[in-house]
Amino acid sequence: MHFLLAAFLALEIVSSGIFSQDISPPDVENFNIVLSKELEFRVDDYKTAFVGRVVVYQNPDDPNEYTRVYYRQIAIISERAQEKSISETGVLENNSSNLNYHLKQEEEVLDRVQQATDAFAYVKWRTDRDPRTGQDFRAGPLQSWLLEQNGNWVFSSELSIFTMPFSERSKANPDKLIIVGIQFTLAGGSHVVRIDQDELIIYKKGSVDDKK
Amino acid sequence: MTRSKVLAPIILLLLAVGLTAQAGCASSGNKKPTILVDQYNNVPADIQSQFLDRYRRFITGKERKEFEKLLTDEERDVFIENFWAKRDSDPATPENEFKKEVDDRIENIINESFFGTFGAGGLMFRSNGGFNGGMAHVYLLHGEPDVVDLIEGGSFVPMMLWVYINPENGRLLYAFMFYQKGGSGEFTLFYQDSYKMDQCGAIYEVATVRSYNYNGGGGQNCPSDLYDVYGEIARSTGKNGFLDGNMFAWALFNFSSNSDLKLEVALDPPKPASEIAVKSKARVVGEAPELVGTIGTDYIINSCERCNSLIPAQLIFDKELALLIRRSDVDWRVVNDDAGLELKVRVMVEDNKNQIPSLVFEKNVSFTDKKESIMLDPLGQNTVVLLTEDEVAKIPAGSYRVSVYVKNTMTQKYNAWLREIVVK
Repeated sequence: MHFLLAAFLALEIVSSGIFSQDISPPDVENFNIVLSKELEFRVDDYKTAFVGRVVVYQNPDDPNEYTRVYYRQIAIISERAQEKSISETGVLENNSSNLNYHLKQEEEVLDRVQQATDAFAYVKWRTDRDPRTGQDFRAGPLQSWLLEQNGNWVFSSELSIFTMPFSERSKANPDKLIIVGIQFTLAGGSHVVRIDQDELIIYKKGSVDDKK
Repeated sequence: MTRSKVLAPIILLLLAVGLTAQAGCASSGNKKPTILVDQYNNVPADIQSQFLDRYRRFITGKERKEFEKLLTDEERDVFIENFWAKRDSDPATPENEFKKEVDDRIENIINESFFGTFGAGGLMFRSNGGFNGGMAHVYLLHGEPDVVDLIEGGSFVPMMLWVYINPENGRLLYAFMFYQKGGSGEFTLFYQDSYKMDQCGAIYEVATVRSYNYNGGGGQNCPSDLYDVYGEIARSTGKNGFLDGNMFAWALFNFSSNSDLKLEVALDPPKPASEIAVKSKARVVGEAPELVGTIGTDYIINSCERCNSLIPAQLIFDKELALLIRRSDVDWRVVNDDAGLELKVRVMVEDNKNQIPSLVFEKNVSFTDKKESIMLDPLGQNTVVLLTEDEVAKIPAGSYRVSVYVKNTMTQKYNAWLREIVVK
């Protein structure tokens, strides 16, 4: 049975066309880092998925120019201890100790994983200062770049990158939709950063085994 | 003033003067006399040779035996360093918070500052067994209680209750009971665990009015005057006004509102934080397994500017579902002249109108190429079939939302697509 390509094919053709143009994203090397934070989402009360990093840069030669860059990485799931350990061990401080050890492990893994990242979205803008209030505001349109899943860049000087949670039916419970990633879209282009659902299920088996 | 500044002159003073006074503490034979930083509470100084005494409440029996087998000071230093390192409550900081907390508590015992600030009138560690007494034991392990209260009565000995509240649920976590055995002297720990099955025995232990002997046997053999004692305890009011007699009566047989918690365990050396962390269900997963070299196996790990975590590829829907991948955009395992690629594939096909259940295809797809081709023609493209024509044919006609997930099982690099498609 054949797929009707419809919008899908059209999208690929548009992408190819765009790719032939020079729409390379801006070079932020040697820019100053203004803000850097994890690109993450909550899977449930105990699990957090880390799928990349968001960094805002300032152009040192033009302090009014900023670029926000989204980097992707090998997806990591960090699961905190679910059981209260006071009753298990009889010591009040154990929960915070667990968390401290867990956070250290989380930080170490993220440090390793973020040695190799790929920039997949850029948003560039300028600011100006309101002479009346003395406050900065965004001046002019945003410029946005998004890496499609095929490795081509999509560019827009008018549209913003739109993000939304990427959900799927749970493997463990098919009646339930769970968030497994974040979808970025720009001018018909799309990029998904996500986790592997099996990592969640492996956890569950591990928990059961631990109790044995 | 810092702790070291406080301790230094005290230790020097004891070395110069106090040793002779404390020589009697030495048991016999070659055992060195204990150097104390507080002779009233018998607190050993923080020196290597007294490690086992000063931190006895925190050292397990196994660790004690191991330490005693060590032959050199260097070995003992390493042991002590490891001992504290695995108990550090926050390994991310240079300071060992756990050791600091323990030493702060010892300092508080020396200074009697716990009761100075708490207002539990006149109570001092030094009058209640000092560093080796039950009060210091509980204080060293659990710190300052949330509530302390005492009761006295005509038919029972003075009793004191230290209550710790569980911050997670506000319920009573521990009730450490102390009593003046015989009606005077120091407060010693009352072991509720021992009386769990013999409540009459607990009352007998704290009763001063004993018109009959009680030789065990529980409620059936319990003399009636002990019921009266119990009644007086229950009707009492705590001297500090925090706890009523019912609480004391309850604590004669109970240690915690969580029946799984035992006094005996709460008095044991606490498990090291690092050990608890390992046993907890906290995990961080997803990282690629380390690539270990085996004879005849090599790897080509490509790191182009967009393939450090991504597998850039064109997804092709037709009779088959396939990926068009550039050779240099993906990582390979090489054995002899062949390069292999294993992709974990998950395709989820969802009916947009929810008329049929989701179709899920999960499989591992292997693909091979020649090492020479990868090296000589890195920009060349391979077509990797994810779903065969037969598998695609299983999808009934309709419009679908298709989610495709592909992951290199060797390096965990991945790609994902979401498409709206129509199948005729």
